[in-house]
Amino acid sequence: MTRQGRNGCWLGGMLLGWAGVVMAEGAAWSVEAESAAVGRHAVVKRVADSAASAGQALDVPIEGAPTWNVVSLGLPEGAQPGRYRAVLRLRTAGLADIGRAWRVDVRSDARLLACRVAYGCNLQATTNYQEFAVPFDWAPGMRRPSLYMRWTSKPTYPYVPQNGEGQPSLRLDRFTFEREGELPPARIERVWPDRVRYLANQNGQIAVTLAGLAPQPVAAVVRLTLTHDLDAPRVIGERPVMLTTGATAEVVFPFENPGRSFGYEARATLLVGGREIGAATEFFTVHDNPWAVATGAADQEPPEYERNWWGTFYGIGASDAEIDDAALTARKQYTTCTEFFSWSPGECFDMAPADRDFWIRGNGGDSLRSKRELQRAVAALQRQGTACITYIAFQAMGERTIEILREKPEWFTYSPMTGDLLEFYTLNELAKRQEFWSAFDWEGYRRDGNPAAPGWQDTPEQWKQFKSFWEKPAEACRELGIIGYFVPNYTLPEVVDFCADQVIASAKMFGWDGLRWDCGHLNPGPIWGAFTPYTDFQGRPQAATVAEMEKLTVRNLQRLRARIRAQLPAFVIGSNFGSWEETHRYPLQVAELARDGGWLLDEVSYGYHAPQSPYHFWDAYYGVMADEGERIAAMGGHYNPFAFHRNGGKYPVDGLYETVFRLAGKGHPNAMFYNSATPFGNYAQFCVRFGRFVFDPAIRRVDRPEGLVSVASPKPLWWQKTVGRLRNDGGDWVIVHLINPPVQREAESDAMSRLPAAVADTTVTLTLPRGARGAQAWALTAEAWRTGEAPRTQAVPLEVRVADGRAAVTVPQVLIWKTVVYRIE
Amino acid sequence: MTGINPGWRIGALGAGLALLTVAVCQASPLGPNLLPAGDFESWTNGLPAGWTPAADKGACAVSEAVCATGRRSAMLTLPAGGGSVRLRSDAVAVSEGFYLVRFMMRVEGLSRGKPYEGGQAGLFLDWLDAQQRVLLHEYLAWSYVPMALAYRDQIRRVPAGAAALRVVVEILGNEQMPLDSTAWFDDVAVCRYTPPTGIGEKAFSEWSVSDGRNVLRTPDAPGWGYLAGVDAGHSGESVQGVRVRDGAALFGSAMHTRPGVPPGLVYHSAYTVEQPPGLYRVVVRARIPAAYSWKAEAPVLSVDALHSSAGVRGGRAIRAADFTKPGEYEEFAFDLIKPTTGWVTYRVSTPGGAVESWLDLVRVVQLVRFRDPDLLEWYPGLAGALAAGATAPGSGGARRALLVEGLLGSDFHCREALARGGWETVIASTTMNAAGGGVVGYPGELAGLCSNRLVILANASLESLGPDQRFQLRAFVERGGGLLLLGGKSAFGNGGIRGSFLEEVVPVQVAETRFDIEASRAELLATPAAAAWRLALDKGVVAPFRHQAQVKPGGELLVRAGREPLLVAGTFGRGRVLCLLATPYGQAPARRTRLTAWSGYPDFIDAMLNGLAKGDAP
Repeated sequence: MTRQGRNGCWLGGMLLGWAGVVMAEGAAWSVEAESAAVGRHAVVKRVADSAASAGQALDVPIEGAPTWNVVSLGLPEGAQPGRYRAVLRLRTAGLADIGRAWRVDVRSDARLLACRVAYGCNLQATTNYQEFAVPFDWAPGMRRPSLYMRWTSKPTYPYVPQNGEGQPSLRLDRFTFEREGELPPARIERVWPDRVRYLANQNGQIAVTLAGLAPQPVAAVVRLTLTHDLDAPRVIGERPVMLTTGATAEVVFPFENPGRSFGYEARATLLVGGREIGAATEFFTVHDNPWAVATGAADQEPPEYERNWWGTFYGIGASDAEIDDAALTARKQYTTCTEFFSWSPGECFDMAPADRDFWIRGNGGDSLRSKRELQRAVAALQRQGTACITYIAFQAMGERTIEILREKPEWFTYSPMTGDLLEFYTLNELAKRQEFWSAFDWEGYRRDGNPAAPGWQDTPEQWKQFKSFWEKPAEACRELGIIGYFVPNYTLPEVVDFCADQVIASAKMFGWDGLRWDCGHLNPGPIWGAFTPYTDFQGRPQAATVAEMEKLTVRNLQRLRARIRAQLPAFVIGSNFGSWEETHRYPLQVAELARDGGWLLDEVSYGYHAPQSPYHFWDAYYGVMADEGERIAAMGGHYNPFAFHRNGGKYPVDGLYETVFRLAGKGHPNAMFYNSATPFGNYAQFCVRFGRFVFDPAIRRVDRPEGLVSVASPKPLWWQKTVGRLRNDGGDWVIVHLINPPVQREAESDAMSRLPAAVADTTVTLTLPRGARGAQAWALTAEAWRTGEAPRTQAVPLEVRVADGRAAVTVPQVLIWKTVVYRIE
Repeated sequence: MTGINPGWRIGALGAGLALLTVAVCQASPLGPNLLPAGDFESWTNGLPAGWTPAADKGACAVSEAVCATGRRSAMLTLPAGGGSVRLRSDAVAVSEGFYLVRFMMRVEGLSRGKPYEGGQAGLFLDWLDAQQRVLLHEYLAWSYVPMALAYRDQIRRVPAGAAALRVVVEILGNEQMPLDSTAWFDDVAVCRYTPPTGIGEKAFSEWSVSDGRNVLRTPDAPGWGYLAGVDAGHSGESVQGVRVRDGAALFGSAMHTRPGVPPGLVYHSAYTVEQPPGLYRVVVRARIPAAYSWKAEAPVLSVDALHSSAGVRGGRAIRAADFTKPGEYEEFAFDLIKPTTGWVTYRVSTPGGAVESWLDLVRVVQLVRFRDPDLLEWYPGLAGALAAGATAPGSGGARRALLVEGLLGSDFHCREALARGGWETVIASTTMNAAGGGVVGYPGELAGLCSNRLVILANASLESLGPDQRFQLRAFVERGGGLLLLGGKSAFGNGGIRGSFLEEVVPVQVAETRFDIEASRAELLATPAAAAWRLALDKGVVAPFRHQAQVKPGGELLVRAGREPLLVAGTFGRGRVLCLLATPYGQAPARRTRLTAWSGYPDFIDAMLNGLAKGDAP
């Protein structure tokens, strides 16, 4: 007897029955999984199992199971609010360390109280029955909670059986609810800086949301402290607050920005009667250059549904509310900086469409973009502290480019081979686009599609019509394609200036914080593949040699930067030219691109996972990431290595390690691994908090670190390629990234995502420089401090043992990655 | 469908065409057709001589409505659904070496335009041993979609042990084939191919390196180098090779294929349009380990070339046994024909598994450059296809025009002029640029072309047409059609006129460069001859950018820009041709007006169109 609930969940039909309940000692309730009290989907079968507590268990197959809940169970009648543990006695087989697994949600109505996933890495390494606990708080006023359980569909990586490993399986033996005690009289719901990233001179606010849990009103005090980098915490203020049951209160503290860059921890503590009863933290960062602290990661196993905010920003027909919601999601994911890819009607020749409210994007030619939506999206993101970068292609595109061609054919590049325009165009697509506009429903647009039109009503019904209107043209547009790519003649200063002016106008129109030039960057000749000079309208080579082309490119970049920054001093400029292969072939261009905080995307690294790549061996990947990150950082730039396949490795373990290696190498990774149901923590959050010790361009790698640092551990850790030295007004720092290496030697070779055993008691010893009296040390971590604990972004002070000019510390456990930081005294 | 005009045999092309033919500097590499029955001229009891039919469905019949050579072709028909129908030739004795296998095919039906959702039609080869047993069964070329009558071909090396070759033409259906299908085959030929020698064979050390780091130039023939170990343009994750340092490689790095990788590409060059139509030699420089454990007969690398419209242009498999000095780099060559413009990519792949190799370079050497008339030696049916078109220009209506527009070609406002003049207009668009070329809406056969009275190429390159279409356009004018050529970056010097079947049709000598457009501030002036065309110009009209060209003897200058020609008229056969050397580009200087923006321009273009329509067509 099951029914499908409003959330698409299978709800147990016997939630209230509790037939077969066994009363345990104290405030605990147990029920055999195979009992009638447990709601279950038809695929779940009762089976005999001598190892189970009553000789029976529920067999829960993954094959044939729907993606929604297949087993459910409510707390029994008579249970009272309080602090609880739900304990599942279960056994598994064939479970990957991270992969498809058994997820347990505790909900009160639609509200999620807790969630935990029985990944292999969260279980004991045994196939015997074991207990799997999910703690949760049941507050007064909430309806009785229930457990809802299902196989995860995420991480999105499909489970791929290999070598007879088969499918994961699960037996459920018994459920127990243990009431551990009363709830505190109040708690902190959230600490919320109004931005994830502040500019150096930007003040803000930090809101603390509190909830009362006691039957009577409670007088409490909330205290906020801020900690920057590894400084001592600073109390920002204390505020009294009266909290009543079921109500929330918000206390707002000012953030008066002292202008110090990189990460902060905002910590709120709640005191009742002078006793601390709760605490919560949140993190933010400070930097004028968004690329210096660029990060962000979506949760692969989010407790609650998260809107795919990319989708909102990449089409047409998003309402204001959807845009604001998407921006909030981006901020929750610690997205300090994001890029709007190929939105413009004509890339470098048409970036500021003053006379159009919407258009077909030039690159791809297959989607409509709206000025209103882009402007609102940028503003909404920037309100959250997320910087917005515009993508610009090296090629000019779209109808306006053809108009420019008519007037100024000498502004374009021609093929010495064909005599015609580089790179290509297709009049068939141009004709299709003209037909699209001829058929466009302009009357409908004026009525339903334009929120800026007179008479527009900001009502749900109007927004519904708005969304409905855009569906049809958006669908029709998907059938269209690119009109052409036209390469400007960048040897002409007036062309460089025109592009710069387009950027300036675009930044003023939309609010961009910077640009990333793709497919090239004002280079008057090919920078990939064989060098065949580009020719101008008269057939003359634009640059006859590689050296001349590189020299002109540098000149153009300098001209562009100067012209833009004359009007937009903080505007940042980047390119996708950061790979080992590219930076070594064109050092002058790369130096200019990296100069002054430039962004260098490495688009070659997305293929490093491939078996034929020398970097698909993890040790080689660790090396090249560290080498390239240092190379670009040393030039003043910010390195952005692409993830395998562009969106992450095949198996979760690949995503985990490629993220760690890229970060430890000072890279700003895209597609970062984050799974809130694993013990490895939130690396994006970590980077926001401790960006100083990950990204600071002043960190110089110590190339032969053995003379400075030694590491002793029961099992080898990788660290030699990622030892850094940072000297700033805060001190003389030594940074040692300790990485527990992958089990497998090669990337994408383990469908079971096997993880290494944690390494205990690693001793790191620093040889103190002459004159140094000693050192302070911390372990920075996003992961759990110890196995079995929850992951936490924190800096844990380490005891420093100084002897014989050496300062030794011990890190109790390294799961995957911890960082030891010394400040030499 | 096309008719028959025996007068248009290749042997009767006339002296004009013969003058265009460029002699190959050495003896022709192509021998006679060893498959005389490939012309399908001789039929007995409804069956073609020299061929054996086989069908589980469908039928074979002679066709006189479509032909490439002679008067007849073979027509295979297959009803919708599965089954097949084929004709198998008599065996032709072959010996070690190379053969060109070519055929012409026209297809209707097969699919509703989506490849692989229907049947297929084409030709395959059965290589036979001395006992007439099939040694190797190879596909030569297929089509999955309807196509106009066109050639398909490849130069193939005789497999080891083969003593004879049998070709098979076929329609192969499947259950998804939605339509009744018909394929016509003609000029099926097997010709001995003798690779030219002494061209582009200089050793690497004698090659010069250009100012660029990896562009090679040959001293004795046009050549191109594609360095697998240096070229970073096409080495994505789908490629099974990895770039490694290699002191023995030409520039110190090579593409290495490790043992254990899956089958797949090791390298493919950029999609290049560098090579003009011609005969080419592709040379692969590769090495294997000094010692290896796999079978010597096993392929190590396979190389081929893919053309944008002609498909796979041949290739070869390189076996371990082909290496005479394992451990050292060696060269392996094959020849191919690039029949027309468009891109080519050179692809090298590995069978994967145990083999290991290093690929250094794919170099391409031009053996013979083809001008259009040269193609008739290799593809005689180009002329034969024309022979089938018996219609005269204007057959579809006395005021019917084909307007082919390239980029900004619409700036000449021909559509408006044709509409004013009451012309029924068929519009085609053309694209010809560094990514290749193509034309949409242009007739594939002469009959379609001749349904028009006028053809206008508005900044539309002849290179976007196939050589057969260029031949048909020449015939169209010669038979009395009117042709108007308008300027732009895809016209005149860069419009594919030089060396084409149209070169002698146009009344101007185009410049010897693709970059023939120059800025001009000169005022346009009508010559006295313009009056006969009812052309007049106001003062102050300019063409800001114009093509450099000279009036040919016999050409009639109607308008000049200062001292330079701007509008030239001519005749070819019974047709008239006008060349307007203005382009759509640029702005007029102060107090001047651009030609196409001038208030009198509508009358001007009307006069051009009307004058052309007065051709001598019957």
